[in-house]
Amino acid sequence: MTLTGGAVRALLGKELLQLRRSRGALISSTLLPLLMMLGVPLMQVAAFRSMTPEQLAAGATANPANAALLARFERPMDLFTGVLLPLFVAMTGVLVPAVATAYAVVAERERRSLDLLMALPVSVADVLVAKVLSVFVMAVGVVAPLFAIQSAVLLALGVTTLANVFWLLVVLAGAFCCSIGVTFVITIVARDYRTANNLSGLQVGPVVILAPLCLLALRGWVGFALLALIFASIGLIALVIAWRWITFERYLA
Amino acid sequence: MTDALSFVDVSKRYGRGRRATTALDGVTWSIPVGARACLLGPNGAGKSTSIRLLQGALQPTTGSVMLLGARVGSAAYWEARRRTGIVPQGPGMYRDLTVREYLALARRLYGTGDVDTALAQLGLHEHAGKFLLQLSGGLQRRVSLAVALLPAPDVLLLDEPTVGLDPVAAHEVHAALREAMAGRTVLLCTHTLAGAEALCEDVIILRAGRVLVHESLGALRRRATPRLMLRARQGPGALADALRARGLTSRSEEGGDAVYVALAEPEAEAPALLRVLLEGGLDVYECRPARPTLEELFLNAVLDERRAAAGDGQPGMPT
Repeated sequence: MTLTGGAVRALLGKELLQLRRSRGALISSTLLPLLMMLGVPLMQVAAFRSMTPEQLAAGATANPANAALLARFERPMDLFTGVLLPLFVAMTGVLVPAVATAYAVVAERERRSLDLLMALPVSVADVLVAKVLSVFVMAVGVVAPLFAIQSAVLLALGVTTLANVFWLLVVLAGAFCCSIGVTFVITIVARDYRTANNLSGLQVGPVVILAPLCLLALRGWVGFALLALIFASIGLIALVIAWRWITFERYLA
Repeated sequence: MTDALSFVDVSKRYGRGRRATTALDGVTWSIPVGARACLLGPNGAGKSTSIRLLQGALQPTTGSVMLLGARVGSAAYWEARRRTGIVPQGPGMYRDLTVREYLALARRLYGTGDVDTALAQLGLHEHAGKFLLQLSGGLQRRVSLAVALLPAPDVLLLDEPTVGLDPVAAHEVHAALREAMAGRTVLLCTHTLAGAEALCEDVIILRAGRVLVHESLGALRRRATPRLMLRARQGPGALADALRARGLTSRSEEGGDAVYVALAEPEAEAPALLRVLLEGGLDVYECRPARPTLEELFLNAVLDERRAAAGDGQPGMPT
């Protein structure tokens, strides 16, 4: 497939303009990370900080599974910074590009405006690379400020460390990569926007299972690095599959 | 003369295995530089597939497709592609891009052309700030044409440019096309045979993925059996009876009052035949050599092929 830098830049401009004008995609892509990156983590921090050791012990003894889990951490807050926070960051990294990718790829097919693009001197590779880049730019634009605010607040509260923030960022980048790759495959296969969104949403299931397993099995930065590596690998494999599958025939079908 | 567009033994199959369908089956045709050809055929004949192959959106299963001497998919193809304007078949429109923004995108992709000139050329200046979806069908088609003409292309590929338009809008688009086609190589894919007849000199008729006819409209007309068209106050039945009495076979339009009779030289034979019919008491009020329309030639070609496939009949007079 032919790829032209100038064409990709021109198409990227068009994609970003359309994403900015799509209220639905913008609201979904902004509200969700607002909740996942700030709302839920800050509520959890408040809960963990207000919890007395007695309450914690009572909760642990009431449920043997909790006891086993808490026994792995020196302080209750370590459970938050070592497992729960990266889990929410990973979920955000997976969900935000999924919503935008589904919009950018499927919506174009649904409204049959691809024919307008095909009439211009662009290859399918140009069109799809521009879409991937636009989703990446948009996801970074939405999530990066929220991540910065989250990190600043948690650092100020003494809940996390700079090293932890760095590894969270690595997990976030891996989750972005995973989401863009997997959603790309889904949106090419899915016939309509709703199916694409539903299938993309299903990615959260494996993340909820994979992230805690990985972070509990390997504590500290090794667990974060492994999680990011797994995410990035899934994303890259998905992108390679998509690249091999993608033709206008399949995209237009 | 150099070919601007050519298909060499091109086949295109969609899908695999039992579910595979053949859109084009070993098709070979070419259009020289400066020629204006129309691509005709019933639904599913392979017209749109041909256009999409030329625009590089599809790859042929076998054979080669050439645009301005460059094989589709080759490095040189994209240079040729920038010298080609395409009007797609009734595309969906963007609800979030304005006419000017879409033209500006095309300008960046072609690397040439002037947006304001293109807007003025197609009378779109007052609509430049509107979103594409807000425009009427006729205006949307004019936008597609403005984009196709933006780079001052050598080749125009027009895929059903008037399909779905009301007669007034179709007339406007045809007028714009007539102007735009001058001096360019054109491939017009259409169902509107009257429009094709007015705009093109060459005809390619596809059927079931094969080339049925490929020649100039003039040659196709010359090959058709010459006919004389007659109308009489007594009706087509009485006319047909009178002609049969003179050993002439005639056909009449379904539901119409005209009768067509095949003659070797209609202009030479008409006066004598007319005199006989009038003397026989028939009030013939119209008598003229009938030039077969493209629609008749098209139907004839398709029906001849069907008869040939069924192993009966022979090519004959346009229906």
